[in-house]
Amino acid sequence: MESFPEVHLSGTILVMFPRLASTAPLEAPVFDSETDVRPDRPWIVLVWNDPINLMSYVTFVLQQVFGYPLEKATHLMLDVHEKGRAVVSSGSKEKAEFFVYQLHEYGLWATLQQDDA
Amino acid sequence: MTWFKKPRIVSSSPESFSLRFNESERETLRNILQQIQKLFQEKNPLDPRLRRAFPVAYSMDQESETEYQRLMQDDLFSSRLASIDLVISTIDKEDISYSELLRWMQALNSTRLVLGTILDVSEDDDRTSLPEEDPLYSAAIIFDFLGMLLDEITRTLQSNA
Repeated sequence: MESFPEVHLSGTILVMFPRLASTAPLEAPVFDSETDVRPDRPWIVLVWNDPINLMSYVTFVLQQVFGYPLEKATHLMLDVHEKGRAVVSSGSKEKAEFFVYQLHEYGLWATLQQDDA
Repeated sequence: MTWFKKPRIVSSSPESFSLRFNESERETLRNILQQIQKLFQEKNPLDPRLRRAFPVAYSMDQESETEYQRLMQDDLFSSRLASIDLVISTIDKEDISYSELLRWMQALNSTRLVLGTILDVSEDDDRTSLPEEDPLYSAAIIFDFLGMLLDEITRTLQSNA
């Protein structure tokens, strides 16, 4: 890689590849939360495992957005990586939406939902 | 994760980071970022190449999701574009600041998300085997280069935070 780049800059790099033809948005896997409508349940922010974001990057973003110390951020990142997802915060709906937006700004795959616990 | 033998980002002080790219690397970065800039400027949320860069927030509640996207999607496009613009306008500089490097990190990551989506990257992919005539060859090379660069930037920011 030290001899980078041997790329063809004259061509379009962002080719529209056939297997991308579907316009369906990427859906986080749904896990059943039934119809429990107790309004006092907190809202949780989930980060989902994805094959693109680097582990070092995810850890750093969790530190930036939530102010978590390195150990906690690393632990959460490993949870995401090994279990497929992790709850990274819990609280009001407004706060959860704000965090999800920030995580999206950093390109993490984050969703929010009301806790079913 | 492979590492650069020679670092591309060197912190000269906690507030100043020197960019050590050669001319062809700068040219390649500029080229890919301009293509990403054009793609984001189209602001088409249905473009499949944007699937990972613009994810859903409510996966189980379509109504909330529609409302969230109505309120936030424009901001996210603007934020992504602002970071891309900043990298394009600082790429020829010798040194950049901490906050500029943070923007670089965001811009390179969103670029990587688009490339990874196009390449349909999975955990255990071996992209090094793509033949040069493959239409995705350039995307694969740049994806890997950006991965190394992003890892270096993240560690540099981390140790100077």
